Amino acid sequence: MVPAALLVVSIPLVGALLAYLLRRWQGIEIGVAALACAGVIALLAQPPDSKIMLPGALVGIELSAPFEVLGRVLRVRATERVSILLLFICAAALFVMSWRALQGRLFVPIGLIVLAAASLALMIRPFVYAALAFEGAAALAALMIQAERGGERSTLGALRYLSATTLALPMFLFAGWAIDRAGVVNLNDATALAAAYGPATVLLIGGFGLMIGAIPLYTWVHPVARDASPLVTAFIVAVVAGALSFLWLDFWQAYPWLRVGGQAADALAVGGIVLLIFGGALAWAQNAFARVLACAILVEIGCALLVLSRGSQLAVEALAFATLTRALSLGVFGLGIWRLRALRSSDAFADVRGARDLWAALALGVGGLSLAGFPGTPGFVSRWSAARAYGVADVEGLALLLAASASVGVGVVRGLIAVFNAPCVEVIAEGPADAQSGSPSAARVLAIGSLGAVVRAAADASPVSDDPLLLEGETLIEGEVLRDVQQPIFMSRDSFIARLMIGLGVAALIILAIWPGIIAPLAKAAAAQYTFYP
Amino acid sequence: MSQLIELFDRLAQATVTPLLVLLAVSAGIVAVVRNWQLVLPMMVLQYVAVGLLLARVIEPSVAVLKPLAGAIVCFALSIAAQRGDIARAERGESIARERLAQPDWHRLPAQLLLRAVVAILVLTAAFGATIRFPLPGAARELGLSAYLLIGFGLLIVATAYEALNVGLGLLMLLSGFELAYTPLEPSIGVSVLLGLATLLVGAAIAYLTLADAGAADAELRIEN
Repeated sequence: MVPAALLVVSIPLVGALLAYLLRRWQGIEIGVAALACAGVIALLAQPPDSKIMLPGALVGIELSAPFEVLGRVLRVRATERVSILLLFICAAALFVMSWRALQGRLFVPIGLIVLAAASLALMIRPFVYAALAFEGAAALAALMIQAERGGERSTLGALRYLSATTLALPMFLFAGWAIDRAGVVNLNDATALAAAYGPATVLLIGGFGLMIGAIPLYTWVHPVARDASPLVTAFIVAVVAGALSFLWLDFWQAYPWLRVGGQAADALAVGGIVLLIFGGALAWAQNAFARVLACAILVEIGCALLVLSRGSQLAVEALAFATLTRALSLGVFGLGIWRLRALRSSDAFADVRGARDLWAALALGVGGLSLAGFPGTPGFVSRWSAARAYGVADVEGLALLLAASASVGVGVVRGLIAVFNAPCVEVIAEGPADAQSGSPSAARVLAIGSLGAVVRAAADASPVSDDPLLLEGETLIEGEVLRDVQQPIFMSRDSFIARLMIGLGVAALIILAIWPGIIAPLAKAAAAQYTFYP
Repeated sequence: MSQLIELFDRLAQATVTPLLVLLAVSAGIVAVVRNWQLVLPMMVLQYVAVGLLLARVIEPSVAVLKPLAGAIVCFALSIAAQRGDIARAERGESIARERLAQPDWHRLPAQLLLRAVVAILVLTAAFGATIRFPLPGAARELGLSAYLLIGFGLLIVATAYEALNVGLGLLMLLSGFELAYTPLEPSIGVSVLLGLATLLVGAAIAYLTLADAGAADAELRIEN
């Protein structure tokens, strides 16, 4: 019998090799990646401990059979089966979204290898070796983050991510050693527990916080969101950070002292609150969509940490549900950023003024509001379940979660107002007053959906203006006349497939919002495998 | 190969002081000087010293993996740095060889002095940490080596901004952690996986070095 663990790692690796060889034909490359993910999803969708006999094959596949590498055991356990399946679904969705929305020529091949490494990290025992898998994934993800960009200081995001993961590696390794050394301790003796497992707890929390981007506060999230292609950022957050969350659930499951001690849960809750404050305080005031994305990621991670701090069945369900909705929301929002970058070589609000691209606005609006947990989006369902899992007892924490989410929403709406409200270059050349007469007010209101947009539109329509006369190729931004240097960089931005992907992504989010029950069984199945909660 | 391992074993069992001096000098030079033509040979020597120190606690045939992986990484980095210099030279910017041949004495002393002072502080802190906080399971010389490499690695990561130098700091950190951790779990698996991590980080740094110099675009054009 072939162990399924071997296939879970090797199928994406073979897929990565094929995708790399076929990268010139993007449709085939994406097809290979989607097939590889679908293969693993089909495998993991089988019941635990099942044995699969392929028709015509001499050997079968055993789902929970162990596979040994360098003395370490890899196995698809019941607890990780659904987690890995969720990661593969997220990755497949993001790979498909990147069709015709070029995210760098190495996105798909390296993404598949990172996916294999994340799965390996969840399957390997002892846990400390997961850190080595994450280190390998980070080294490869650095190439994905950098893509084909060049120039001085262009490598900051990749370097920050690699540095944070490298610093976390020894913490996990030493935590493993500290756990082995601690021996058996009475779980009811708090003093003995703290003395024996205190260092291990601190090291695990430190390593986890560094890898997931929680400590230090301003570490890799902002530089990566700014430097990397948007879907690459979405992939790292959805797959790598998702795998880290599930790894922490495995810690809860395997180490009773970690739960009983209470230090880890407190640290996670404090980390979550701090991230919510930080992300929420910054999100509304950002001046670029990538920065709003970074703040939204901080809020998402903060929310995940809050949920993780509660070791309950509801918390696992909320985490599993959030993993999928986060991937979709980030992916759709990322497609909107990609489209704006393709159009204006930038996603700064000042640069995208007057872009008036409905497809970009649709992706940014739906994806962004879902990230903000706006009612009527899957993000709202995710936030709602997170709030239930966190518990209504901590009203301040819930209020903070709400305020941080609203702040992300304000950031998104400010960006959308910039996209629609400011006069575009061609119209300005004819005169400021004329420019407003041709502005698509209905589209603005539809896309932005806020009273602020209407008020702003009315203000812009004022016939009295002191704006200087602009020449062709000049833009007026906050009173300054700037030469228009923004040229379309990807000719494929208007391709049918790219628009189709945005449409499908938005449709998927809407369907999930209307019918969250589609993924609820998966979340429940994930939660059913864990037994650590009372 | 067996002769090489035997030689490695003999060198490892010889006196440890020269190895510590070599580690301190190489780490200090990498931290103070920001010129790859000087720094990369120092890194190779450092990997040899780390390998010899590791051979004191694990099988020499496993410990030899470290200098091998290090040499491969430094070779890859030197190629990337060379390509980067070619791209800079095409743009009329100064390159490593020129800076080595014609140092700018007006700017150099201030930078060098500052880094040298901080390097001395790190060296002192490493000695202090070895005595005050001895690493578990490790002999004192391994503890000192680990503290030296971790301290200098952190210093470089915190102060450098070029991909190559930050990467060298990360690689130094990895070597330091390996020296600290290997006595606790002297297994082949850990050594092989850490060696693999060194190779992967090295490959990523080589790519980022090319990108930093703006040479990645040129590579892409050539390939296409």
